[in-house]
Amino acid sequence: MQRFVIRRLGALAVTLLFSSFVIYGAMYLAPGTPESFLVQGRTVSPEVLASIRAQYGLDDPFLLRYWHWLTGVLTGDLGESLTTRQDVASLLASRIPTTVWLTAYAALLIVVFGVVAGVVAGLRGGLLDTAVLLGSSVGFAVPTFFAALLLMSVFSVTLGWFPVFGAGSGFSDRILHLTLPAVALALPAAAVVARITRTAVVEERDTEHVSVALARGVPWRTVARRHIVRNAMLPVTTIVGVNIAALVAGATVVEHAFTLDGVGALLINAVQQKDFAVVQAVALVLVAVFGVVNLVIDVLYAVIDPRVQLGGESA
Amino acid sequence: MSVLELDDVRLAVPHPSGDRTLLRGVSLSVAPGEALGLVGESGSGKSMTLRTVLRTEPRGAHVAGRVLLDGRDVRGLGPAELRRVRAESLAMISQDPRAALNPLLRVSRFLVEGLCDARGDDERTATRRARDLLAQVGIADVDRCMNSYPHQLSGGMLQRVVIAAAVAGSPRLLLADEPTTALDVTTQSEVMAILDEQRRERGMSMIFVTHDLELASAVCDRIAVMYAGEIVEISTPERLHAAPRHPYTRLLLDSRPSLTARAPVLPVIPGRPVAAYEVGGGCAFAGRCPWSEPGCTDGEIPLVRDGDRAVRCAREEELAGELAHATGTEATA
Ligand SMILES: Nc1ncnc2c1ncn2[C@@H]1O[C@H](COP(=O)(O)OP(=O)(O)O)[C@@H](O)[C@H]1O
Ligand code: SF4
Ligand SMILES: [Mg+2]
Repeated sequence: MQRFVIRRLGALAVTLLFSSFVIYGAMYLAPGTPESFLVQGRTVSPEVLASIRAQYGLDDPFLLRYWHWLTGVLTGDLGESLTTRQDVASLLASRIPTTVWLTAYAALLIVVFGVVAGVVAGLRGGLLDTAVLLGSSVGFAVPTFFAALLLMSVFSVTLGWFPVFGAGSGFSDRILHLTLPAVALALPAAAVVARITRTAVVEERDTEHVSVALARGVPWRTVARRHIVRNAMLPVTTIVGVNIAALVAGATVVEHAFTLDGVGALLINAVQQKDFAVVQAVALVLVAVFGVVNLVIDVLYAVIDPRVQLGGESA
Repeated sequence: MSVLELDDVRLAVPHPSGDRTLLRGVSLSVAPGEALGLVGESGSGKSMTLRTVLRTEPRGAHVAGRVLLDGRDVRGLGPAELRRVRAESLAMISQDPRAALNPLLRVSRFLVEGLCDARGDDERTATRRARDLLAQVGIADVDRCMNSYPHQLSGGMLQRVVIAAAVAGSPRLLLADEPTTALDVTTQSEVMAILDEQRRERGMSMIFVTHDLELASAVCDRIAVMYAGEIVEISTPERLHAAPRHPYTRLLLDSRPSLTARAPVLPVIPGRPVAAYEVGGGCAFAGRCPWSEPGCTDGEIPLVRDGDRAVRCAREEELAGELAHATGTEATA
């Protein structure tokens, strides 16, 4: 297990290195130059422009600039924002809590509503099953941005139950502020998870080992818990993991819609303003989070399934 | 009193083109301590017969007739009583032990579960008993076996585990459905010997399902031959071999692989086995029977009892002499 985690972390480092190159390079392929943003449309003399280019090292060869940036990143120096002159690392640090709270909240909703609804639908069947199927179809079909607007207009504007914007401070205030954004963010993923959980449970219910356990007189509750739900969690773990990792990307839309000061909103602003340093740092963080979440899922999978051998060739 | 008595058990499953009959009135009984062989070609309804006893028939199946376990009809039991009967009086050993165990749980859990969760024994007693049982079914390294996951054990080992679990609660009746068919040839006889020994030691009754008439003859006190969802002959192995009364039994005997000369191609009974739902009026075997006559397809042919044997053939008395002799080349394809 340990060796597996170390190997995977190594692989993640390589992935990050590769991504950093792609991310850094992509910014130069995108239309528009940073210095044109820096001068903000004012007409400036070529001398001023040249001094700006020199200040930001824009005239150095690409690989050299990449190298400077990379060594900076490795020592924790993410550079400074082109627009606000703020230190990118501290800028990120101030934005991270909101996004972490938002995605953690949404992840919890996915697990609770997606997995639980799927399990109940799969085990009970009947009307509940139909309700979950129907609900998941709706949840999956509604685009996140639209869901955000809808939730806001109904629960914040019309009913006044939740604040319209802001991330709140302190635990309960945060929960209050982040409930609608988290619901909007979790909705499509919870729908997919509920579907897949239901299918997994129904399939597991029909396996021979389950009918053997029942035919031995093991009580239904025990069989449901120990044999059906537990085994169904194998495919569910994977799909929950993928969906939680994807939340990090979905968060940008939701943060934008609810004007939350998270990393996602930071990214959108930075992209609009061609703030190279910020975009690069945020993109790198997203890739890292995605990698770590996937690693956690793989470890979890191996814990559930004894047939998976970590560290060696799988059996 | 019989441990088990099936009285005219019929089973049909729903099908887009109307219900399909799979069992057409199975009647049999198993005495205390007796092993009854249930023999017939694949698809004749052997497994389905066992499933009506355990009440694990396919969802939506219609079952008629009585299944008396120690005089009590298991078909009428409520959920709680059914669970008790399954936990205490019946045990099933199926063909594929690998499918019978949850792949994510250790062998110990499988064994303890049957005593603990099903019967209410306490966990420590159950664990001790599970270890004893593993030793009894010839497992050398009990600790390793208990801690193993199913994928770490061979098919033969797993089937021993299943046998240990089946005899654990000393049930009244073992239902063994081709318990050695999925194993490799070298372990088949070993596993069969262990099953036979465990059963005899505990004086349990057994229905032993197989398509192998030789194997059934070796381990069973009586043999019931099944064809197209009904029983066509019941007899002791000795009499069945010496003087089969039903043409199908005769052909089964003639088509068995010779033990001395291993023929590369097994002689088979000519013609295709018919499914229970395809049978029209009269004898189900008429289409393949070398002795069939026009009269064979008229009306139902009853299972006629004669002491402890029974035959379902319209020409049973006329053919008695002829069937005592092998048919020779006639049966080989
Ligand atoms: N779940 C099921 N639903 C419908 N038909 C089935 C099902 N299982 C088995 N059958 C049919 O029932 C017949 C008897 O099957 P089975 O009892 O398994 O035969 P055997 O054990 O003698 O080989 C076969 O024709 C088979 O196709
Ligand atoms: S009834 Fe007729 S067809 Fe059927 S087995 Fe007897 S002889 Fe053959
Ligand atoms: Mg079968």
